[in-house]
Amino acid sequence: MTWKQIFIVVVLISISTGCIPKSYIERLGIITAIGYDLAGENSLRGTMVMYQFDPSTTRPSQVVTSEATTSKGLRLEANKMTSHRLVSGQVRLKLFQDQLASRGMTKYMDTLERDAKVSDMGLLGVSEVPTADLLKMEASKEATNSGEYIKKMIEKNIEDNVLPDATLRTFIHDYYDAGIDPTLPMLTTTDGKAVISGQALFQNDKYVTKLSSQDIFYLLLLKNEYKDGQFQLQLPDEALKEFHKETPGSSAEGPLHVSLHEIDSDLTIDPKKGKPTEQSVNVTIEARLLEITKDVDLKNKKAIYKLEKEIEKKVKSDLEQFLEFLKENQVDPIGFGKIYNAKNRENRVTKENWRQQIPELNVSFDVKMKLLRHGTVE
Amino acid sequence: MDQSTLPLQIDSYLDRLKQRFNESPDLIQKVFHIKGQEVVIHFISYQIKKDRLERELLEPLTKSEKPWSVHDLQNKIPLASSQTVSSIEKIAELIIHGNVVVYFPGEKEAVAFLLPQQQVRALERAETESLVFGPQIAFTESLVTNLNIIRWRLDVDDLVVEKLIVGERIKSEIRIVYLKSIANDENVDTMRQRIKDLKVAEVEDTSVLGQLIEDSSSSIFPQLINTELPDRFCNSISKGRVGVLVDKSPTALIGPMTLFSFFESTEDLYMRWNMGTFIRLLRFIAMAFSIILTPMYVAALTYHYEIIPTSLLVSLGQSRAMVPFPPVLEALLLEMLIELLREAGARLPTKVGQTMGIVGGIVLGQAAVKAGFTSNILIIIIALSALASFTAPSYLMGTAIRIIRFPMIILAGAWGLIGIMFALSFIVIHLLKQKSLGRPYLAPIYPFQWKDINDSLIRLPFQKNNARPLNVMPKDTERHDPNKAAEKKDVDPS
Repeated sequence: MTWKQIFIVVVLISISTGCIPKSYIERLGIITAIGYDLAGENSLRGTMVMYQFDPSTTRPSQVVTSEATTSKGLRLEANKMTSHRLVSGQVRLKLFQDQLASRGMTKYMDTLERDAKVSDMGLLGVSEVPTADLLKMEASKEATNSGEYIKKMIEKNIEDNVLPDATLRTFIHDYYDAGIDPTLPMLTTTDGKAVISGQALFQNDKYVTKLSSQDIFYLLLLKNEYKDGQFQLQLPDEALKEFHKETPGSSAEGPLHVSLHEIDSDLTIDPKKGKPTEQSVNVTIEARLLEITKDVDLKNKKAIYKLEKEIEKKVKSDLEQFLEFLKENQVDPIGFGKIYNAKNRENRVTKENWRQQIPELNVSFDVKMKLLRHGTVE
Repeated sequence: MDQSTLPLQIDSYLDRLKQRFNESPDLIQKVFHIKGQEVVIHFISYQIKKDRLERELLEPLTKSEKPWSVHDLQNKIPLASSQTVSSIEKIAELIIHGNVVVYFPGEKEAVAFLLPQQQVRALERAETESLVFGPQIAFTESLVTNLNIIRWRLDVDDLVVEKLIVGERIKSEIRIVYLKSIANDENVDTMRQRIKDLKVAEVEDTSVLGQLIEDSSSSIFPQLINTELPDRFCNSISKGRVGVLVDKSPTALIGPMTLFSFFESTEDLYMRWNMGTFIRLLRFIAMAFSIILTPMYVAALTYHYEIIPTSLLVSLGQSRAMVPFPPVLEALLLEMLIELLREAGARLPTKVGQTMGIVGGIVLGQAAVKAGFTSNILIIIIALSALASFTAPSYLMGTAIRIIRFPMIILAGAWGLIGIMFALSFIVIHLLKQKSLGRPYLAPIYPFQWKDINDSLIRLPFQKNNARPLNVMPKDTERHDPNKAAEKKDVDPS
């Protein structure tokens, strides 16, 4: 390398240093969570949870609220309220009020999707209460602010197989795919704390209805295979009557609840050739019996067999009910149409024609249940 | 007739030698009259062993019954090393190198007896390349001692020791050491040619010779290894490399080398193979850390707040909020501080050095954070990368790694991650271009040589690891038969 070349490199470095805008973190208000609420007919209210670092304050987290007509405008408005430049590169959680979500989320999604600074792995959620209430809430002890708390809560539940994936990437993927609708977790407040109240179901990008948190299990059972899940269900009171122990004082009265752990499920969905509305679903569940509310003789093989059959029956009827619920609301979060498309060449499902076909959906369920262990008895 | 060649009469002989030595008081001359014959003896008092001179030379000389002749002198004096000389220059040179010169005025030749006395230190433990586990001995300044150690370790007649003299004004004795049946002739020829072609006044040390003969002196990476460990030197020689020793230098030079051999320590061989591999990989990771960590901090905090893990964001931001400088300046300041500490520690006497370490490391570090001078996360990062850079078994390579960091920090401050990538690409391209004695420097990665990876990036068990490094092109590539080496014949109990 000659001196001339070195000189050129040095000059290039010093000149082009100015080309990249600097963002020193101590001069930034780093937004980590945003909530969008409907403020008026055409205006939005945004609540931003952000970190800004000052030498004097001990609490770096702050919440700002602003109103504007576009989502980017919110940030511009909020900039007028802080001494730090607001940036969205660390946004990990975006919440939408249900009223806003029911008007369609694409217009907000669009900017998230195209902005390279926004992480695709950020989480999304829908709120039943104004998101400002959720995000302004006093943070719990383990998180620095409410946005962080909600993010961790959703993350944990996705990891534990209690909620389906709620990342921006999955949402956008499902939205653009034909034959499947996206879903997002639904949040609300109870006793001044943010809680997950169910799952929001969408028609394309429009929020339609809420799935109760009990039914999320069935959604997950049909959406993907369980690795290590847990669930409890209620069986008919007298289902295992003949196996009740005759010990005095045992609780023969009351409902029969069963709690299953370490659920491992296999799933196959077979659409009928050329007919997207005719599908058959095979579900095989293996699980460990953790708790049963009645004193049943578990050493008896027949009792276990009966219990398995009862659970199968219950799960099957619940799945049928769940499907009815989906058909009523004309949503397909499971992606029956998508699975059909993956296996068939003719009579393709499109985004347009699938919506009309959902109410005609006819699915036959076949559920197999196996209890692997039930723990030691006596 | 030339005035400086023998024969000369006694007065002119004494005059000329005195002039030659600039009337030095160190030159001692004695004129004996034995049986009517004049005998002149010259020597420098502190260059020779006086007791041997008296006992072995002067005693027989003075007690002789008949006059001496040059022939008698050479044959009857019981000293092994003697030679005849006939010019004043040569006589002067021999006197300097510890000879006693005996001259009978009028004769054509004088006789020089070698009775040298050299101040040498005893063998000591290695200091800069100290090993925890393995031979502790280090080379000394004496070439004779060093050759003695090498002959002792490599006791085969296959070992070639070639002698070369370099230096126009002050002559240095240089030895090229290699195993004839293994070392590649081209490597030996290159080494020999490069040393022979040197036109310098003097060669101060092995490291100076290394700088004079290495392939690219503009690169900051050393291309030949300087080692003070005889075991490392002999291990390299037995693998087909060529070694060079310089008189008066306590280190030896080995080549051709690859980048990875600078991170190999003989300790890796003495450890069991799995630990050796672990430690070797640890060094590579440490090196990568050392180069990347501080520039990454600068880049992330100046441009890319997006890549900071959310859980780290708060603590990073809070400690940065106190600091009045941009991250580049902060990092450069602290890196300079560490370099200062290192340099001060190396220069100061040992007793003061320890105090300085405490003052510099603990007091300065703590105070700098408290005063809002630097963020404490940067202190951790800098300390970590400084520590990592000291894991290089080669001192020269460790220094090179520490210096690379500075341009990288500046580039990270100027262009962020793009700058770091630019610098890394530049380094890789640079390394690809380097050669060591004409052999590729980045082997075995490029040119890729699967067999060489066994004993460069990782270290396989000796039974499996039977190939000599192919990048030095040894004449004999196999060290032993891997199948025979793995055989374990137990004695049957009978």
